[in-house]
Order: sequence, then C-alpha cells, then structure tokens
Amino acid sequence: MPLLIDRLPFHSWTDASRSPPLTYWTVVVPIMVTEPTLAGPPAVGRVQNWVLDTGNRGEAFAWRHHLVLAGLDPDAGRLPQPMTIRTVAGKIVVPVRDVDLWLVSNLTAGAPPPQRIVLHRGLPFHDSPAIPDPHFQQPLIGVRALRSAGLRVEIDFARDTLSVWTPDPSGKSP
Amino acid sequence: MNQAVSDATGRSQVPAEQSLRAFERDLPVLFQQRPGEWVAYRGEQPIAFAAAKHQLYQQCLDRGLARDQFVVFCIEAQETEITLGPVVLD
Repeated sequence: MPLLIDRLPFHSWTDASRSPPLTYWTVVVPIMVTEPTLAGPPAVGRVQNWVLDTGNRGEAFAWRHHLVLAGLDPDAGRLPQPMTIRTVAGKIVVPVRDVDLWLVSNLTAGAPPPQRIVLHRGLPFHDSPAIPDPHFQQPLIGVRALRSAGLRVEIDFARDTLSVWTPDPSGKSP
Repeated sequence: MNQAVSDATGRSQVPAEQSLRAFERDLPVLFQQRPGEWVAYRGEQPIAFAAAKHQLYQQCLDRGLARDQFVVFCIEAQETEITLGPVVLD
C-alpha cells in the first residue's frame, strides 16, 4: 500500500492557565474539503486538521465555520435528509452538506496526490455562526469514512505520530 | 403534496424532499439491483446511475441541470443518526 502520511506528529497544545500546565494531544489528519463534483484532486486548497475520531461511528462531522474556511457555501449543496447527532449531552438535528474530503500527504519528495474520501451521506455540520474553539471543536473524521476509503492507519503512541497508507491501485492487499 | 416551485430566475425547482421520499421508496429494489452504486433523482424519478459520486454529478451537470435540480444518493442503508464521543457542541 502506498504511503501517504509519514509519521505526522499529533496535534498538541498546552493549557498554561492550569498550574502546572496541562498538555493535550489529538490525532489529526490533513484534509481539504471540496465540492463533490471534482474529477480529480484540487490543485490548491486550504488544508485543515481533522481529528481522527474512532469514537465517531459516522463518517464525519464539522462546524459551519469549517465549510466557510474551505471556501464553500454552507447554505448551498445541502442534502434533504438531516442527521441526528447523539452525544453524551443529548441529541440535536443538524443539516448535511454534500462535499468530498481529500486526505493530503505530508511527504516532501514525490508526494502522492491527495486521496479522495467520499462521504456517502455528506457532511453533517453544526450550523452555528460562532467560531468553534480551535482546541475542543475541531472537525471530525469517523470510522465509516476511514473504512470506505480503505486506509491503513498506524497510530504510534510511543512517538506521538500518525502514518497512513492508501489502497494499492492494483487492488492487492499488502 | 410536493409541488415544483420557481426560484428568482424562474427556473423550476423540484423539492429535494420529494426526491428523498422517492429514493426511500425505491431503495429496497435498487439495493438488490445496484448495491453501492450512486443514483440521481430529479423529483420522483431516478435520472442517472454511476459507480462514483463525482461521475454522477458530472453526468447531471453535463445534461444542463443545476445542482439544486437533482439529488444524489448512495444505494445503501441510509444513516440518519450518528453517535459522537465527548464532543463539545456549544
């Protein structure tokens, strides 16, 4: 399987308001969000860090702000079926916008093109005008999307890094 | 009853909800015939199929349809509820 992301460091930040300071880590992947109509990977685009969320049994979840950051109109391209989001705090119903996700390589030499991740049910998003907290409200990519993309993912908690391989174009397993 | 409406340009728009209801009605049969493929609906009618979502969009756009005149669905069980971990929504 071709390597796409090589030992990408976890996202980490330290809450210095705590005494002593408290550090958090999040496993993130570089993602571009585009319209679902592109025949190939976008030539340019804003790369965002999406949390690799193995506790998310859906495909993905984001905030309105993340669509705006990607240059997409959150009010266009909506799918007719909303999504119910269930959390420990209860459940809400949110709109769904059809998009494609593209997983972006961090390789410097001979980097492969971004890998499309098709969202079968579109992207449910929290339709709030507020700017999400950059540490606690990052967009999420879930198990269903990772499975349908056929990715191999290695999370190294000894080195705090993530590596990702894409399916072999020949269709052969490693 | 669903009815076609017109937007500011006068172009006819068929409510997407009408397509959703039709797709839900047709899904059991479609899933037997074309599991995993993509289908586009305009109103109550399926108008195109493709193996990939972006190809289906292009087929429809090439026919001169605007994005808001059709809806694409994957022919599979439709997820309507997802459970997130300890995410902070507000």
